[in-house]
Amino acid sequence: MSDTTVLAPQEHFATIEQQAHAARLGMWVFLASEVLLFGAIIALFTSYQVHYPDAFRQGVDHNTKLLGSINTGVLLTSSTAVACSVHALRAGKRRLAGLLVAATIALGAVFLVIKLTEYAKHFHEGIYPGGAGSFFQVHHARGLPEFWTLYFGMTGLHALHVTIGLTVLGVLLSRIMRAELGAASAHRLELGAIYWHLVDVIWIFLWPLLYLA
Amino acid sequence: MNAAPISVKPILATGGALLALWVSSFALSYASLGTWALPVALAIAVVKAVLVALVFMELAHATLSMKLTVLAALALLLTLMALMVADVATRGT
Repeated sequence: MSDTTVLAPQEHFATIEQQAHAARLGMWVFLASEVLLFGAIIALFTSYQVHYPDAFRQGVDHNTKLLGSINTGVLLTSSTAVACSVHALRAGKRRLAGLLVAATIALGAVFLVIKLTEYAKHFHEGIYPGGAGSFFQVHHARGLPEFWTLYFGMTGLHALHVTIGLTVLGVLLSRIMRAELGAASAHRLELGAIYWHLVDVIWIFLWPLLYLA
Repeated sequence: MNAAPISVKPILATGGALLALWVSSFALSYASLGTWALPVALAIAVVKAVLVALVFMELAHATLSMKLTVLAALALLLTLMALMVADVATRGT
């Protein structure tokens, strides 16, 4: 299924290419602010890790490495799928692009389900943010409340970004299915995809910090 | 404007490389690397992030203004990290 629609730019842009460039630049400026936000939080985590190495080691060891690692594979695969969808839409293969965006959304949903499963396990064990819960009445190591508070804060903020990404991709999928997006307007899907890739990049760094080492 | 890649092969090759690095990180987490465990895991994470940025996010084909935006953010991030390391390393001295 090909798309040959000629798209008119907004009145303040001379061409659709100029409009697409402005949109891309705007998205990159936004992503730069996101990099600084998560960078600062990761710096905070690392600082506490230096102060409480044993407690943070215990926290990482207590985490479910397998679930966190499966989630990493899920996000990496979803990023590959959405990158392929942009390529397909540019080539005018609207149906294939739609299927790949749908697959990305499904993988994002799997990520959230696994993440919520982990949270449920933590709550069942009495681990809550702020050092609240029965777990901390038994485990007294200094730094454990800091580890779990940062864990919930970092993964919760990331899960919020995943949810926003899924919503954006859902809107884009709907527009692809209604033939409102095609080869001529593929840059709109590209913007959503770039945001999704950032969500992936953030997790790429959270995974070793919280699950591996 | 971005020069869109013509072939899907670089995307699939990058996806394969990312999954290979993912498996490597997971396997290395069971090796006894001691204090090197986190630096090694983060180094692999940096390689993965660069691959995603250059190929999937098409930063390799982006305009100078977009590359400068990313470089400015990374420069500020490195400044923050350097100041934090200096603070932690000299605290209590």
